[in-house]
Amino acid sequence: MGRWCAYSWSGVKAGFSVLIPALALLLVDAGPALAVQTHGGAEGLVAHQLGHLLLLAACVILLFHSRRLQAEAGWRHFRLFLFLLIAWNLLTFVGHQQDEVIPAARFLWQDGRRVGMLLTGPIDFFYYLGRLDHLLLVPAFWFLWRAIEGWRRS
Amino acid sequence: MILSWLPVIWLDVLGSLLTLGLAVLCLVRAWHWRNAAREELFREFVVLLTVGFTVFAISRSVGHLIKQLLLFLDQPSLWQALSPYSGAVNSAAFIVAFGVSLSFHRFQWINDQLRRQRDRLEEAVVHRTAHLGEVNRLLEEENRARLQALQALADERQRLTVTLRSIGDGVITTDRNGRIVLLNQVAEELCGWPETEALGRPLPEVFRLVDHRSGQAVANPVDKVLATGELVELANHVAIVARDGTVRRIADSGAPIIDLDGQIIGAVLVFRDVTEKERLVEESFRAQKLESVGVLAGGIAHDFNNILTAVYGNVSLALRQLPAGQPVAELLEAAEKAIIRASGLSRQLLTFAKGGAPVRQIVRLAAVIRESAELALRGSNVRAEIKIADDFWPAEADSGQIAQVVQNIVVNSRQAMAEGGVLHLCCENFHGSPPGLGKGDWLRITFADQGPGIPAELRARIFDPYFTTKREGSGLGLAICHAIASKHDGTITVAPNPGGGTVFTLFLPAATGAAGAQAEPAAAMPRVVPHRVLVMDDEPIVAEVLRKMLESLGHLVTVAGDGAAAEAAWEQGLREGRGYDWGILDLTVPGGLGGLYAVKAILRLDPQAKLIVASGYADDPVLADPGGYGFRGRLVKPCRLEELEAIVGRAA
Repeated sequence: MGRWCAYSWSGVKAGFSVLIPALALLLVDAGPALAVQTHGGAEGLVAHQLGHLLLLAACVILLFHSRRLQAEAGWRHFRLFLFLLIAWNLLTFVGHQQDEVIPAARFLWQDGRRVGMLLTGPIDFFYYLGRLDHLLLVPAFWFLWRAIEGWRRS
Repeated sequence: MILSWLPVIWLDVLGSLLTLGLAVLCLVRAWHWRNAAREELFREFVVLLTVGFTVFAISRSVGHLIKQLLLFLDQPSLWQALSPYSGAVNSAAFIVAFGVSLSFHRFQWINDQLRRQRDRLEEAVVHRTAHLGEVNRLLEEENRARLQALQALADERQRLTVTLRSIGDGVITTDRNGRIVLLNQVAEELCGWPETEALGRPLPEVFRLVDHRSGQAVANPVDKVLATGELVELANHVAIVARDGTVRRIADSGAPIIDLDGQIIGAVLVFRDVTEKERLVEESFRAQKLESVGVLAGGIAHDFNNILTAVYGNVSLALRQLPAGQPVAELLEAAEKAIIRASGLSRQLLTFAKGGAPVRQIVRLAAVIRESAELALRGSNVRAEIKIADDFWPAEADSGQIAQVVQNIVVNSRQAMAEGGVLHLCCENFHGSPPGLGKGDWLRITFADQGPGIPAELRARIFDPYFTTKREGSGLGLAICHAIASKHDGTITVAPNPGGGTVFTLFLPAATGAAGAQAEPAAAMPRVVPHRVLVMDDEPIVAEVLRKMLESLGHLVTVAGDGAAAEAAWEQGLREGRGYDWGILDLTVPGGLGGLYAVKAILRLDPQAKLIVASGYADDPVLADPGGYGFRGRLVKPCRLEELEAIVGRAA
């Protein structure tokens, strides 16, 4: 029993060894964020993007280490969840970056509200698609739910 | 190209709601899954990971919904104020998810190890369970075998119990302290103790042994068995005294009970009632003794009788030839009386002779009994009171032998009543079973005297030959009575008289036919012409005296030494035309051809021959039935001249 506790504590310590510097970075270097939900101001785009990268890394790590578990119940859906979450992560990461560079003139406003967007090229179109990220996120969590159901049944 | 922003807004709201719902659902399900097996570390980890993702999803969805709501309410500035916090939470959730994911591999390895250990454990459990199953099966088989063995043991015990119960001998087993642990049914009967009461008691308390002659206690055999560990047999004359005081003679042996380790754990006694067997043995012994004495007496009496025959014949002839008034005649008459007494003794001895049988005829014994009793008491101070039933049945008996029995018993009674007394003699019919005999019609003759009686310890021996308590007694009287009664298919018993004295009871079988006429006094014999008589006897002195007696009767006598000589003489007489009128043939010729040979040979030559059998064995079957063997009559030696005259007559 003590052996398993030692293992679990070492994992937790490893997690904190990454978490604490990341939080410190966010607090020190927080900039404006103006994406789907802009992440500027007190939060800062860099810190948030760094979070996205960490999430991306987490998904890749999990995908790598769970490759042996595909045959087991729940894990196939979990991996699909990870794939979709990676896709969503890339999409939103790019979207956050575009928020920084896209001209305000691209958007149409009415009574202070955004009502349309002027597409001048593929980048604009990609930006527009990036606003529809729930098309990836909802299926991702649906697969997560299926994965948990699979684990429960097994 | 201008695209409407409205789909973006609606998808954002709808997607956030769906994501929020799914995230909450995942969180709840994951939490339940985790609670189902909280001890699984990897499950805990996966749930933690899921919590990280769902917290991110929830915070993001809530943030987007708040954003759309505030924008819809024209509050962009408020959203601008909240937005960093919402984003920061999302970022924090990303970092948490990353941090947790870093440990995924470690937790997975731990999980694999746990699984492997669990599998090994389960395999061990399965193996152990299978082993336990096999052990259980073996135990069940062993238990089944033990139950079968117990059943077999119970069956065997029941069989042994039934065997012990059924066995004809008494069986008692004891423990090493000599206390009773088993008593079978026969032992219960012989000891008079039920097993339930006898169990646990010391053996001598239940199994009491005495010497049946002295009544002294006999040592218990179990003590010796337990001390020596050897088989012990009881000495002779041992009897067991039952609880009610009954004494029975027993044969007994004791043996140790030895266990598998060779230790003596008790003793077993096997014994049986031999009272009846011992009685039969004693009776058989007595019969053999009587038979031996009979053979001896017969041999002696045969020779003695021949001598008496010669003496008697010569004295008889001398008395005939003496002129009347001679003083020597008295001497000869005294000698003749002595010879008659000696002849009586000889006849008594001959009663024992082997093969002797009474000359039985259907007779009424009343007169014989009365006369014999009165004769025996004549001149004594004992008076006889004789009661004879009016319908006293006849008997098929030798009246002479019965008279001898009566005389012997009466003389015995007279001697017992030396100071005088009354002898009660009762003759009556009896229908029933005398001691040791079958049911039927019997003559019961009882002799009850008033003497001192016979001690109980002597009562069983008084019929033994030569057993007597009187100085002048021969010891043959009662033995002869017993022999005569037995040869008449009857018996004689002795018992104490309730009023003092002794009672002898003679049982004789009643006859079914009519009694023969009483012998009439001999009438004067008619004179006959002189006969030619052939006398055959191996004893020269007997042959000589018979010759003289016959010649004194006026007959012509030829003498032959044995059967062959008699046959030759008869044949010669026939051939020469001067055949014999009578032949007197001795029955027994030691070492030669006797009367039975001669009668057959002579009858072959002359079927009309008149032949007389002569013998000192008055009880011989041939004399009892001479007609059955071809003879015309019998002559018992020694004989008087008158007896010869009654057979062949006196020549004119």
